Amino acid sequence: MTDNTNATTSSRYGRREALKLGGLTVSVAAIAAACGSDRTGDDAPGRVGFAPPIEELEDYPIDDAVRLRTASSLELTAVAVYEAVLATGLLDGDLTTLVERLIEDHQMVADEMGQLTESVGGVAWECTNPWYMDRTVGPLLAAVLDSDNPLRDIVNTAVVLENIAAATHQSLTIELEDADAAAATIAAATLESRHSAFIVATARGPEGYVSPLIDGDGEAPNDADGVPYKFAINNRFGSTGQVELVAGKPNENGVRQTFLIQTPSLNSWIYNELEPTC
Amino acid sequence: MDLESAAPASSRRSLIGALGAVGLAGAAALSIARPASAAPTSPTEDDKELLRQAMELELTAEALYRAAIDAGLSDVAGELAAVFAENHVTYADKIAGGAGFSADTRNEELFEQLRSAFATSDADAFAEAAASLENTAAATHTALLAEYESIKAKTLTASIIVVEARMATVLTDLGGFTSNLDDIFEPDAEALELSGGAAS
Repeated sequence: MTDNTNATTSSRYGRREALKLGGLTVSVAAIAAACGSDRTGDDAPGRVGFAPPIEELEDYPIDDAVRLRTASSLELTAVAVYEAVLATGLLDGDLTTLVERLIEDHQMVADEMGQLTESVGGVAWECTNPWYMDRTVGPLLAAVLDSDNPLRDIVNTAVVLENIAAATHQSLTIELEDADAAAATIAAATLESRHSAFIVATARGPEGYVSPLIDGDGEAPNDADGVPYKFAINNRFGSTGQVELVAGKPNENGVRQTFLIQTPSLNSWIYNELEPTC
Repeated sequence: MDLESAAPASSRRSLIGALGAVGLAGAAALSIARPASAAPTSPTEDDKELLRQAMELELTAEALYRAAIDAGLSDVAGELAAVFAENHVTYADKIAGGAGFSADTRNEELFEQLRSAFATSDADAFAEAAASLENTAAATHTALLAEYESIKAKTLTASIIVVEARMATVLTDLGGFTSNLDDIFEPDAEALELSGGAAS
């Protein structure tokens, strides 16, 4: 027994110590190898698992042709939405007449933007905007068609659509270098502002003329279902900020979907390198 | 409201037609422009001359709305007049602030020409006069927009134009004097010929 005890206490390196020493040796060796002057091979950060390699994004230029192609794409997106709205058969005679006129106007602006695109040396874009269609219009139309009040949601969608189109043209008129294109976009911004205001006036009458938030204070008024009202005039100055739209039926918690819609940016420009999607 | 679409060009009465003495001209040719990337940020001296005319137009509009309120305009029309007067004085302040002068003068000639049309308590008459004024103001700013050199002048002007177009649309709906969508969306408005020659 005494021998056994002596044997245990006399062994200075047990299994645990051996593992620690081994780990330390491997670590030092790895550091030494990494610091070596003759190191070769891939110097990219290491990756774990099987994620696909990161692709560098192309840095495509944004010129007048891109701006005008994007303008065309938004106009044609509006046409597509209004055609879908007409197909629901939910609109009465006056609203049908109005929506038919809106389609006509947006197609006219799209055609004009297409001609201007070619005049600045680009290729006219004759399709909808794929980014908006995939990310916003598709889910939004699905929500509207499944809504507990589809007519309200159709009107609100039209107002938001016109507001975003107007805001886009308002921004483009500053950014465009071509004088004819700048003039055409401010004309489009004006037309679409009138569209928006008239849709609200037709749907809501005098109660929808001016937002009580025009001075920047107070609370946004909602309808009986908690959906924010739309107004013909929301701000003293034309806003180019994002627009919020609540649509669709409430979920089990009583919450409806909120769509945040913005003017075009890097993801939604119709770059010159983009192939037609229609 | 019964809507009419694709109707022939409007023959609706317009204040513009009665304002020959003031010197309304056709909308300016949108000719002068420079690349946005080369444009100065702040208003140039040429911009400031034009911005002064724009500011005076805005203060004139404000004074006309105040005249309507003073004449006893009430209810929805009175509320709109108050809001729109505030809009226009805000535009005047913003224009003047950006250009570095005071918003303290209006276009007296224009004011005198339009005052009697605005000095009414009749909502429909007010709406028609005011819609015409807003459409004219939007057209005038649109003509000026093409003349401005600076980004700030352009940006501010564009943000005013779109709201004046909305105000015109609301007033058209209030007055109910047209159901023709051409008149509502493409009103027959011409730019004012301002004394600075901006919109001539």
